[in-house]
Amino acid sequence: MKKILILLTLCLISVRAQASDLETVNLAFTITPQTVVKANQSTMSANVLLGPVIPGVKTEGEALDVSVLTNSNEPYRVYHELRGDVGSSSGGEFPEEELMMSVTPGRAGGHSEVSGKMKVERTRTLIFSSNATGDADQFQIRYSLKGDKPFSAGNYYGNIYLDVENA
Amino acid sequence: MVLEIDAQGSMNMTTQDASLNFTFSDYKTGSTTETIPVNYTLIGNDVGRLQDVVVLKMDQVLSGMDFQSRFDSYTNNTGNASLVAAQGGFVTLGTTDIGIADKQTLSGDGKILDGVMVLSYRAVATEDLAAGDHIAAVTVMFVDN
Repeated sequence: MKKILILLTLCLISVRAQASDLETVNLAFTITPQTVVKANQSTMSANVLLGPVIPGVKTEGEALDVSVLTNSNEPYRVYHELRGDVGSSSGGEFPEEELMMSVTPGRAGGHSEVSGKMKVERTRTLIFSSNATGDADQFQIRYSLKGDKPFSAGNYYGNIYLDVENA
Repeated sequence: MVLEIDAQGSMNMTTQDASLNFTFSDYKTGSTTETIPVNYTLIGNDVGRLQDVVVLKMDQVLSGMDFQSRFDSYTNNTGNASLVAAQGGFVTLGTTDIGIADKQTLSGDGKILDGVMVLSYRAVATEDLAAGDHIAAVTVMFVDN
């Protein structure tokens, strides 16, 4: 009797059901309300240059461009301060009552708090207020000398600080 | 920001009296003319010199007379230095520099002169003088260093 041997090879093909796993990551971004003030000499030099000064002659300095950048949408104020002595390496005394400043209105509607020209103060002094909606703005500060009182020849240096705070 | 103030060295001297006329009261030796005061307004901001800050010189010596000057006063305006007489009384001028005023420091670096100086002028006959006119020029120099 003829025998047939059949080998069956069973192939098991397993098809797995595809799994899915979803994770949700919650992202939170905190953007801090910020208002900053930046100042640049219009000629891009490191210092705000006032001069050459000739004794007894009124002198106008280069404009200092001031920008206020803000995302707070709150009205703000800009303050100005002259810190320390205005002095020279040669020992000359600078008559600080000679130093004046003027401030332009802002391009975005902010307004100058300096009427005409005022003496530059050693104390923190309000010089500019934003518009009602606190938009970013740009304005200029211009320093000048009255020319009433001569002072010794030389180069004098003083430190100017600007800061901004919400109104 | 740093504020830099560049103050140039500068000096200036002005007077309203560019021409003076003197008349001798007598032609005899020793007679004098009237004494004429002249105001000079001085401004300088780099006056380091102490002596002979104001110097006088004539263009020529006048025959038969001495032309003289005297430092009378200095009135300070806004300076931190003052001027004083370099020599007492009248000084006879010549064709070489004669210092008439020295500097005194009032405060600080004492390099700022801003005020009015008064010098007086006269002539003294050194011999009997013939009638006539004599003309000379006096140079007043303000020297800072």
